[in-house]
Amino acid sequence: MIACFDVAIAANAGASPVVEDLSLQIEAGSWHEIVGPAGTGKSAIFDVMTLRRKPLRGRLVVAGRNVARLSRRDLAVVRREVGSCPQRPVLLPRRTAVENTILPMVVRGQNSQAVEVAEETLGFLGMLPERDKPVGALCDQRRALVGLAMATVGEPAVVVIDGIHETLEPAVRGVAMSWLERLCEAGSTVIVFGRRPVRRSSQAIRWRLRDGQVETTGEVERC
Amino acid sequence: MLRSPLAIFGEYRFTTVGVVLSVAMSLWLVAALLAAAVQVQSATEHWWDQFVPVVYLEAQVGSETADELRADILEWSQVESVEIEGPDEVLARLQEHLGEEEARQTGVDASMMPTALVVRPHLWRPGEVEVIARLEALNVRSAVLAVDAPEAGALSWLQRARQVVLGLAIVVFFGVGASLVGLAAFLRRLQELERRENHLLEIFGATALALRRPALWRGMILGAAAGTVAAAGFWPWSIMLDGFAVELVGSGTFTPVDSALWAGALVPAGVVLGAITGWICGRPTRTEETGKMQTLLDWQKDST
Repeated sequence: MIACFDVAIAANAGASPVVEDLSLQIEAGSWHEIVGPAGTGKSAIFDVMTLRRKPLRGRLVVAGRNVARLSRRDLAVVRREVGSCPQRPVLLPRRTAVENTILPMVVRGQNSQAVEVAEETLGFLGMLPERDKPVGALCDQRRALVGLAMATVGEPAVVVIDGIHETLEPAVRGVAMSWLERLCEAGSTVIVFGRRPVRRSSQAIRWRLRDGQVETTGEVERC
Repeated sequence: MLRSPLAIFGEYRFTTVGVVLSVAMSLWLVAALLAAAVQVQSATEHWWDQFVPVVYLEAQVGSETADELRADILEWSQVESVEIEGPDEVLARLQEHLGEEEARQTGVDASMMPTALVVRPHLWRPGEVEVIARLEALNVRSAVLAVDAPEAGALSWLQRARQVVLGLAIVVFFGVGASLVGLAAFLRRLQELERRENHLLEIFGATALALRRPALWRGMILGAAAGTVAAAGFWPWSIMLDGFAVELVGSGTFTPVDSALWAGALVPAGVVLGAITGWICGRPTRTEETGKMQTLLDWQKDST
């Protein structure tokens, strides 16, 4: 689903690479965790995998497409396959939780079922009581869940989460992880970035970031 | 987008109305000026067709001097031909002009008539009216009795009207530019208000066309509204202008159908103008930390 070959990524424009020679392959329908301490480049990798940032060099394949060869239009098409939630999700504060959640569905042209699917997602995450509240009026925990709902609504082929679960309270985190596991079971590829592993068992492929390099630590196990 | 791109006009009613009126005024000015130019041009050609000045020579002037003067006038670039008419032909012209009976009552005969040079200018072109001044200058020559060019006054007036129209065109050009800048600024402002939403739309896979569509649509609607207002204002103007032309030259250029077509054309003109402005202003941008603007669809350029 996602493959990186000798990819180098800089933390900021003009900076030296924070990640060097990143090579990994993520198969469809699997659960991956990329873990490492702060400052090791997790967010930089997240940006590249979610097509928010170009790698400095190397080859990146997302949804079977070499993104270096994609036109702008094709790049947008590939982005529709990826649901992502950064550490601080970007939301529309004046819009309600359900309006925020349907946005990816609208982009994908799934308007007719958008509200229904969004409600289902919010319902699983325990957000239905806040369905019609402006996101700006919600607490950080609930806003994070709206961000997670946006990333996962409509069961995109790839779901990439950057450490947001680490900001959640344990009970809420459990709900969020259960929702992600359900998506994985349904066929989505789930990639979770964080400081510590989140899955209880070894049902994940873990990649540990250390000194700008990655190494796999877990066994491959399909959800 | 999560809602209709036109919904935002309701939040900025006064600005929207102001922008529509400003663009409508520009469209009206352009159409009104074009219509005035067409009328002036039509009237000028009408008078020019009838402009056949006659230079009467003194009685004692011989044919040699007449030939010399003819040759001089033929050298003017505005003149196509010069015919020399003898006293008999001049008398015939007078009789034709006054009527045979009235001419007879004046008691003039051919022996009292001077030799005349009938000057035929080229077909009308801008600058041809300079010939009027040159003809008037002939009056100082001792061989010339008088220069008869009754249409010269109307042509000189129309020449001044033409210059006024050209001068106004420059003013209108800047006016149209200012109103388009106003339209562009308004569309851009609306686009900026939706920057965060556009950013999200792009992240989840909206194409560049989809991101530009709201501004394009808004531009078209504002342009159509402005065109409609301008058309409503142009209709009475064209009728008034035509009435003025009828008084001046006896016939107008704009029939009611012409006026309707001109007015109707303002609506698609507004739509096209608004669409182009919307398309240009719809380019999604974001402000980088450095303050530099770049399109959302460009990846963060850490690789360049």
